[in-house]
Amino acid sequence: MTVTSEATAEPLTAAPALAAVEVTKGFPHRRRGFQRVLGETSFSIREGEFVTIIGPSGSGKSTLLKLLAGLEAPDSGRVELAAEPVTAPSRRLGVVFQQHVLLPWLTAKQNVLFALEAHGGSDRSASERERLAEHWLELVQLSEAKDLKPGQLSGGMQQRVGIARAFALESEVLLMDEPLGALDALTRHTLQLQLLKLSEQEKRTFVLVTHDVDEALLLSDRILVLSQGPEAAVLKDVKVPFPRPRDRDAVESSSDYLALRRELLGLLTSGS
Amino acid sequence: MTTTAHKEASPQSLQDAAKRDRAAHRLKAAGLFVIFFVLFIGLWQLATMGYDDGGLAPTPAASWQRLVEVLSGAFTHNPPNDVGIVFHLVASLQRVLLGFGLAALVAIPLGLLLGTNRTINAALEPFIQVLRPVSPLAWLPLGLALLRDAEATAVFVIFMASLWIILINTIDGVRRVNPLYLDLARTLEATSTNRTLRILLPATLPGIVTGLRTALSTAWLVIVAAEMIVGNRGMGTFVWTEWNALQIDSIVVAILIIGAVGFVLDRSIAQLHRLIPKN
Repeated sequence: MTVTSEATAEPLTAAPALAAVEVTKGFPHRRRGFQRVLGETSFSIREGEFVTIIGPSGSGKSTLLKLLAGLEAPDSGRVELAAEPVTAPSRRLGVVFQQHVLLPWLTAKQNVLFALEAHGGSDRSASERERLAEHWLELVQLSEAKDLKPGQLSGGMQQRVGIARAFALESEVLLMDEPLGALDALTRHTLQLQLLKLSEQEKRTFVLVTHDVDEALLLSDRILVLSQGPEAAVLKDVKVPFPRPRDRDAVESSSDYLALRRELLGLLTSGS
Repeated sequence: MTTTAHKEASPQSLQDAAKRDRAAHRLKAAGLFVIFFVLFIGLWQLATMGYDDGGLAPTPAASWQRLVEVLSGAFTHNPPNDVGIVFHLVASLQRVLLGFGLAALVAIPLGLLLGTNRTINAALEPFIQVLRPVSPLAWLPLGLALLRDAEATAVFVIFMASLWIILINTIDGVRRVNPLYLDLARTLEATSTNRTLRILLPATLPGIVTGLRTALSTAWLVIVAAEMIVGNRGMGTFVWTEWNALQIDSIVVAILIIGAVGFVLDRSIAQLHRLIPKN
């Protein structure tokens, strides 16, 4: 666990941490036979960068994240993790799911531990794994609730366990599919700040899918705006210039904020 | 709830009112039960009244007397002809639990496999669909011919009666597993052992428990019929020998005992529902 408070600024190496190279994806369609969701899409993400993928609903954001995670294979093109093609999900690509996807028969801590042990080849001892799980639950402020089952936790707490689990894996890249989308506004607000803090402390590469413009502006270094589907593609690549470490007030009162926000909302609504 | 809204309804008084409502409901149900019970006995008495000189139709009084006799001689053991009801009951329960247990051992792993593997499932589906609707009793002669043993045949019939039910419910349970759990297993690179035992099996429990419960009830239904044919002991054998002795009172007693034991069996296995995690 490298707990540095350094800001994720410039790329450390030239090779992208994660890249999509001309990927396309479609699904069988009842009437049309086949419906392409994602048109030819390419982008690359540097190591240590926080990139948000944003787009109108139906633009294939979640599909794109599944391709990046290796959960689905692109119809053409490829996804590359540190210049190697991704052909299957791997522990190097951590995923925070849209729904929390905690195993309801395990406690919060057991859920995190399961993630550390599931592949059967952990190089850590049982007590080290235990300490690691507790460390991450503490970072998302769930130490008190670590022995509760998901059914006994609120929606926000459940998703925090999901986040702790993904971080505990120590994967190079963390993929988050609308992790806060199902939460109420107040909880979402708090968790955004927690995510901000974690992502600035942890030297990792982050990819976030969201439909929340303010969330994107608060958290990311760069925002990829997808066009309205079908055949969505990257409409615009927007750099988010706010200095790190960030805090919400500073970001939201910055002079660029409103302009960027207006630009993004314009792109999202004019997409089709 | 018929709580009238008082001006100052304290939580305590509301709670008391709810309690009174529940008590009243229970009292009414109990009163109605007594009325229905008396009605039932009365109709039974009426229906059998004309026959009591012939001795065949079981009157309530004669059945009651027989029940007392059967229960007081429950532990007699002078084989082959004079065996207490407890020994019949134990014989039936043994066959049911053995056949049912073996079926569960086969059907649960097979169900997990078929539920996760679409190709094998499609290949085996015709077997399941054709064999499932067959009355388990149809397997009985086949069992006798192949196994040449009455005891093994009874267990085999129960096995067949339970197998399909547990199998189909397990497959169905696997299909209902949240597909994201399997995505999670993939992103964690879970070993197949971990995926099966620590994700799939617990997630399929609701289906498995439903299957086990239905199968056990069915097995208890089937054993009585099977024992009429093969058993040298058992509740079915008891029913059949009593019929041959024209002891119809005993049949009423047997029905009562079979029903009561079936109820207890079902309640016991329903405890498995506690294993199912609530989400």
